Amino acid sequence: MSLCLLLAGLLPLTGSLAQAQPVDERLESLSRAEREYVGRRCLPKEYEEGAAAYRDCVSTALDARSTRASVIFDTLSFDDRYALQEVCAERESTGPDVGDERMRACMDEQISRLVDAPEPTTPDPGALTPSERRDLADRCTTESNSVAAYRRCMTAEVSATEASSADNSVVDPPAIAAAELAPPPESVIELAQAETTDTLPETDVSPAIEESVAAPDSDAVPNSDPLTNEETAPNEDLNSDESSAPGNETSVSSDSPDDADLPPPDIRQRASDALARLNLTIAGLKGIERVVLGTAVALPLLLIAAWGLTRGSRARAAEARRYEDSLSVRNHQLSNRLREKTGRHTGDSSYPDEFDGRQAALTGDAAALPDLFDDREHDTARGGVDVPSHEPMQRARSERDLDATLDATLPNDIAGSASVNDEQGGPVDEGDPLDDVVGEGFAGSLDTSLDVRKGMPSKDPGAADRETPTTSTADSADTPAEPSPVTVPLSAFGRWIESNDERRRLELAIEFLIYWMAYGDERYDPETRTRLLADGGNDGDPHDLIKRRVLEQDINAFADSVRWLQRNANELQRIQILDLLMVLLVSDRAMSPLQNTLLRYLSDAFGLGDATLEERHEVAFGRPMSTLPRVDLMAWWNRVSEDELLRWDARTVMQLDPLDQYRSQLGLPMDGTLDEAQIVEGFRWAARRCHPHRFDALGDRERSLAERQYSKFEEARDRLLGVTA
Amino acid sequence: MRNLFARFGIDGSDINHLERALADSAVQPADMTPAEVEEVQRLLSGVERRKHLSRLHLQYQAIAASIDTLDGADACDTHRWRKRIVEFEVESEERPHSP
Repeated sequence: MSLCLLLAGLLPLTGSLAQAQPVDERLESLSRAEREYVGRRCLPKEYEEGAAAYRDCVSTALDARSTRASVIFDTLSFDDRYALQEVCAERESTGPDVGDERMRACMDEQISRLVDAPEPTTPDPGALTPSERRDLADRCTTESNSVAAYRRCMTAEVSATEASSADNSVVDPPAIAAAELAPPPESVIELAQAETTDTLPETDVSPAIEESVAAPDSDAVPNSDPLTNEETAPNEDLNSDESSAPGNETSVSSDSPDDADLPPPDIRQRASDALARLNLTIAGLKGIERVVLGTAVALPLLLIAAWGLTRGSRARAAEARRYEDSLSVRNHQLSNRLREKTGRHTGDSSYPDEFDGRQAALTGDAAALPDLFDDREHDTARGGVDVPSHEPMQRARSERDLDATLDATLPNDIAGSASVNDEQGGPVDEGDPLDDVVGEGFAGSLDTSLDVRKGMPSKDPGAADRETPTTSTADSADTPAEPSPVTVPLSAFGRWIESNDERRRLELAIEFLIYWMAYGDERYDPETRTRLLADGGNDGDPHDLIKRRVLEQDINAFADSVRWLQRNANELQRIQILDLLMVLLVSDRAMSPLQNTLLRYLSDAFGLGDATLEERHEVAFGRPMSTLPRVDLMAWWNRVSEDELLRWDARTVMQLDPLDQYRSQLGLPMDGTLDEAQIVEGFRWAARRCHPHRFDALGDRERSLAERQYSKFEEARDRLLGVTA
Repeated sequence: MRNLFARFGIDGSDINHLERALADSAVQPADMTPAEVEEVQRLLSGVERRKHLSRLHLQYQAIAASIDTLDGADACDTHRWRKRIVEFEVESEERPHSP
């Protein structure tokens, strides 16, 4: 393309020199290469426009070739032509006269100077890689302001490089200025001529062309004699000192036939050479080439990284599937219920994925309990599991801030002049909030399903032997807390507890706290209450006796129970007592002010502190525990929602639609539709709270209570999911 | 917590007595400003609030009765219970008898 453009640009210069000699004869006078060149240019015109156009084309081309500059241009190597165009294009763009004339003048000038330059040189194909050649050409083009300088630069560089290669040394191109001054060695010139013929349409090198210009009738035979080239291409720009530049001998020695006898180059040397070549190659890259190279290098790395990530995720997915499979095996009961409900065999993998996914979610949640609450491997006091918070902790902080504000209202030095009503255990007046008591509250669940008389020495002496002695405090590794100053029970109830055997004392004290917290929120049947207050426990039933003491609001019995547990229960048992109270009486999002206050007080009395209690709450419910209530202040009530008020009242909840009761049990929203994930998540937390491992320091009875509560949560989940009618 | 019953001179924890005392303009509780009295009136105007106030009143009485448990070496008092129950403390001879 550039050649055509150049020829087109040179046509006006040579048009006036057209000769009258017939075209065919003139073609015959050309060498074979020149004829083929002219033919490639003009034959297409003959096909397209006819013989006249062909003749004109040939005539024009011949006229153009008749000028010395154009003829020499055609004989130039690719590198020389490139350098020529670069030099002239730069001048054209920077010079004052932009246009073809200036370009032509430049090219004439450059070509005329090029004739006097050393012969073009081409490196030994084994000495330079293509990239090195390109790098060399770029540097010489950049640092040369003429084609002749470019050629000298190339010659010097190639000579130096080949010399370095022959010495098995790292390629270290000399400075361009010094290289320009080095005379071209004979062997290099010879090689350059041979190489040049590859880049031109079988034209001769410049001396031959020059000779053909001088004698157009003679055949332009390629000159293979290096000596002739040396003679016909004197380098006027070189002085005598520069002609002795090193490298001439070494470039020849590289082709020595003795190379076969030389030992193979050291592997380190080869590596060093390869590295040096690589550096040169990279340095010679241009913008887009660097991008391509970078992409080529980065792409495999990216593919490897992607493969690694994919492999890791697949491994995790496989592990999760194995885990889910193991979970699904554990909950045969739920699987059977689902099978009955849906009529599908849950273990068959041929069923649709949608059903299997739901099934896996359900069974997984139910069966995950053993692992989720395997506290034995963790710090039991802290719950042993990481609990994600459902609510931001910010709320708890703000509540604490407000609580601190409310605390400021506490009297600092108020004399305790208030008296306590002696009739605390007596009947309540009409209009008392206790009027709206319910009959199916906590008491029923505690009494109906369990043999509360089990373990009573007076009723069944043999039962004590059948029970596991897990309630024994003497076997505990933890030492009991330091006894409080009061060691004598203040109430008859306290004395009665002391009269039981040691194993039973813990059980009874815990039971008292359970009823105290339950009945404090009025979770009892009014009729039952009346009966218990009349003669509860008179028949020797210790549980009725406990209920009666609680209904009588015996604060001394409460104090004795707390005191006994403080003295006799070890730390782990005290922690699990708090856990049990939360499991049995506190629903998610429904911790009443009474429950909150009691739990915080017991935590302090048990020596656990607020931090431990809040951690246990987070383990159980996955959310921070509310701050200590201040029900005596409107400011505190102003932040209580209607939803909370509803959930706090167990009696009101018991009067709701069964499905709403289930929602409350699982801490789910009381309004709106529930999706499966919400239900399963609510059940997950509820079921975690009930795991037997959380109560392994307590007795069988306490664990049975937790298991019963778990069954209630299961029922709530199944009913909400529609699994059971 | 404030012992509103005690402040209005009411024995026991009958919430109805407290409401009646609030309705009686002749009753002026000690250490309470009119604004505080008005706040208590608004507080007791809600059924739920009355209910929980009565329940917590009993709990604070129970805590006051067992406050000595916090004197143990392993016990702690992260909520300053002694300060909170100061209006609920009773002399030992005034403490109700257990059955």
